[in-house]
Amino acid sequence: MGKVVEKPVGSKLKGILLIAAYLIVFTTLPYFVSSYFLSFLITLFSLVTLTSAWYILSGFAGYISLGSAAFIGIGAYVTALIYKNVPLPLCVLFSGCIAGTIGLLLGYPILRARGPYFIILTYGLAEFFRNAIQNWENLVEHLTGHVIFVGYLIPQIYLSIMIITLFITVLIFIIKNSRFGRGLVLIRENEDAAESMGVNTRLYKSLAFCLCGFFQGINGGLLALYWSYVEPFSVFSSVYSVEVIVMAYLGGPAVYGPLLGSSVLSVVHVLLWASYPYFYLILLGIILIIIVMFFSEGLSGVLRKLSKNL
Amino acid sequence: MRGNRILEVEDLTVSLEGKQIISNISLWVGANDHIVAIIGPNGSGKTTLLNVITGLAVPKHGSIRFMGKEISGLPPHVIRKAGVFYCRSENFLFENLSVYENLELAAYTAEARRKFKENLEYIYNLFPILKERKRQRSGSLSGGERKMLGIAKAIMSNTKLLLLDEPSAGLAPLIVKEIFKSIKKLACEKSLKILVVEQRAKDALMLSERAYLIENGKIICEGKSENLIYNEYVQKGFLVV
Amino acid sequence: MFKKAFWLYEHMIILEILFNWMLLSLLYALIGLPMSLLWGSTRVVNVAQGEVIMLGAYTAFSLLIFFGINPLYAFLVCAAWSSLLGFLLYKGAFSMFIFKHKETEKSSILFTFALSNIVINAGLLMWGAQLRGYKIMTEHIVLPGLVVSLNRIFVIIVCFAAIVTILILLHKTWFGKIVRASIDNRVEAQLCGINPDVVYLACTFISFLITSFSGILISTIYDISPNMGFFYTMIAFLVAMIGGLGNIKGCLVAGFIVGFVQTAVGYLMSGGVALTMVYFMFVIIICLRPEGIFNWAK
Repeated sequence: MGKVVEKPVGSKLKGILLIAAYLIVFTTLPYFVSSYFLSFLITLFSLVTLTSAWYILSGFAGYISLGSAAFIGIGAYVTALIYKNVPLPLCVLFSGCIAGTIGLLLGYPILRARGPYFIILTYGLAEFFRNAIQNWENLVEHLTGHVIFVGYLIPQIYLSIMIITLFITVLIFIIKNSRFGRGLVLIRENEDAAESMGVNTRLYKSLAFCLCGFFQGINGGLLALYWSYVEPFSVFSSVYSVEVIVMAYLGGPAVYGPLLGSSVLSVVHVLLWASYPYFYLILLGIILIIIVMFFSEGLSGVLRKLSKNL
Repeated sequence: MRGNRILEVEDLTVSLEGKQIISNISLWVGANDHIVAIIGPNGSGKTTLLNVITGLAVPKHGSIRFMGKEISGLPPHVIRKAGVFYCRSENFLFENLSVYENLELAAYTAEARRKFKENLEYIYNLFPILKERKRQRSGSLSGGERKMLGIAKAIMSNTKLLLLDEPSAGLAPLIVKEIFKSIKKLACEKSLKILVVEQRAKDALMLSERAYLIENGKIICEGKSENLIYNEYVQKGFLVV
Repeated sequence: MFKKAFWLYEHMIILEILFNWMLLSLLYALIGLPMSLLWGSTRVVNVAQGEVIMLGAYTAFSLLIFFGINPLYAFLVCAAWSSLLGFLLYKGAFSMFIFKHKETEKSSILFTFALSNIVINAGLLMWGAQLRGYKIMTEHIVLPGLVVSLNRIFVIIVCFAAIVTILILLHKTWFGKIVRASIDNRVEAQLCGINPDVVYLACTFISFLITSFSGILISTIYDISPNMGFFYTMIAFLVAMIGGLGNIKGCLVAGFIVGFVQTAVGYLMSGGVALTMVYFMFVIIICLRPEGIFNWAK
């Protein structure tokens, strides 16, 4: 029973043009803007990547994760540990691989927990890692935290995160139309039915979790280089988990949701985070409450309703 | 209340998850009835019908009147207090509570509590094994004992209208005979009306005075039970006999 | 490790260990109770429970530091605001999640997660991140082989009294029977004429009340900070899940299990490792059997 998915040549061409435009714009932009705007862009791309990575498991398969900070922290730590011996690009890539592998291995036991149990598990996950690493450092090395001496890296970080953002955004669209993506959506709708239809749910879920970990880990590695200092409290900070989930829910369940939500909120982030961090986080909480209670489909839902009425 | 009808269902339509389960059903239980049966095969919408009457589901349109008052759309606990008790076929016990506590909770309403001691005597006579096991956790009872407890709950409820969903389900034929005997006794001794939903056509028809035949969410036949036994559908055995 | 265990025994620290085990167990059981009750009856998961504990702790602290009132009066103050908070949250949000949303647990988790975030950051704004504390009832009682301070005995007694009160309420009263019935079989309870709205509101009340009280108790023996809540939320989940959602007796047993693990690992290795062990238990339990170890035989 083959289902032919019509992919008009037009849309593929449109996609390639968009990618080309993106590359042209964002590689030339740094020459025209202030360094302040550049750091805003880094933040923006970083948040888009994190939220999109989150979406691979939580958006498609419905396994909501409150523990994005876990993979970010792991990625940051790996980079901090090996940056002296490994060329930096490989460092970051390796961080992603380690985080992804942990996602794959951990995924098998963890993803047995369904629905609310999984959410609660991820809520405690980042803290579990932080605690474990902190104890390890206390016991074994008698000091926590690492300083990274690498000099001025902003251009390279910018370039990397820009390309990674492109990569993961395209990846999400590809996944959406792939068998993998359809399987994940089936899992979200009715996992038992999906299983009986022949979908290898354990593999798919773990794979999605692995990809999420990979990209969030890479991001963590880049963040380590950006901040030049890594220690348990800051890299496993719950702030990351909160930001990702609010951006995801603000954007809504559509495939472009993460893009939408993180773009909007990254502006708020740059405005408030430096001077009024507590207010920023309180605002995030209020936004999430409003969305859960009144706008469960987020901005993408609003857009969809508007486009229906036009 | 039209012509002394205790329960009146008029032009009821129910949809669940996009599918239309019940289409334009009308039926009634009158003051002169004791036991009315609704007979149909699996999937004909019988349980959904009872769910809607007792408030567990909401109809798309149609009216349900009990003692003249409209009850469709009301929450289940309000409908119970009005005088309708629903004895389901599955999941009808508080598994972790004792037999006695189950009976107490069935007699939650004021009028049931007034007659509590009297009804308790009655069921202990009817089902002595329940008296024996009264402190036992009801989840540990056998299949037949659970059904007995279900019927006992219905008696303790001291209600005006009793809805029974497939009381014979999963029981051996001899026990079914016993259960049906006690249901018949119930309708005669206590002044309550019973609406029984069943798959076993012949047993249900022998138990009731009037019956409705239901298939695919529609009433296909109705009338006196003694006549319906000769109905071609029943005879052809499209219903489990 | 075994050498150390023997050393501890030899030096009569065993009584001290048992005392601390008892303290942690009852405290943790009291913390798990509201989670078990609320989740078990209404399917609402309160991720902000730790923050309610934190607010209770700061109520006691503020009463002493800013008003010079004995922090034990905090029980009255907490009773007032926790009841109001429970009522507002129930009417404003929880009842929507219970009766109108398809997935009560998921909505309530996200909502209370956001709420906890707001409360923590508001707390950080108001009080700063450093640990604060106060000392009351620090007189020591000397027993053979054991020296304990009065405040710890006080916590043990109050925890025990509260748990027993709830158990009596649930198992010896008509109201408790209704709650147990609703937890056991939600639909059947309604079919018996029980109004779920009343039951759920009551459970929310009790949950918030007990939670705020546990915060006061914690403040009498530990230092507090706006970030203290997270750990206790984890404990609440752990204890509630081991004991079984809605199973209060199970909660008590679960408290002793978790208390044992933390005390034992704490003495044999270190406090930090003990915490990691607790988090590890948390991860294991959710993966294996979140419905509770004691849920077959309540």
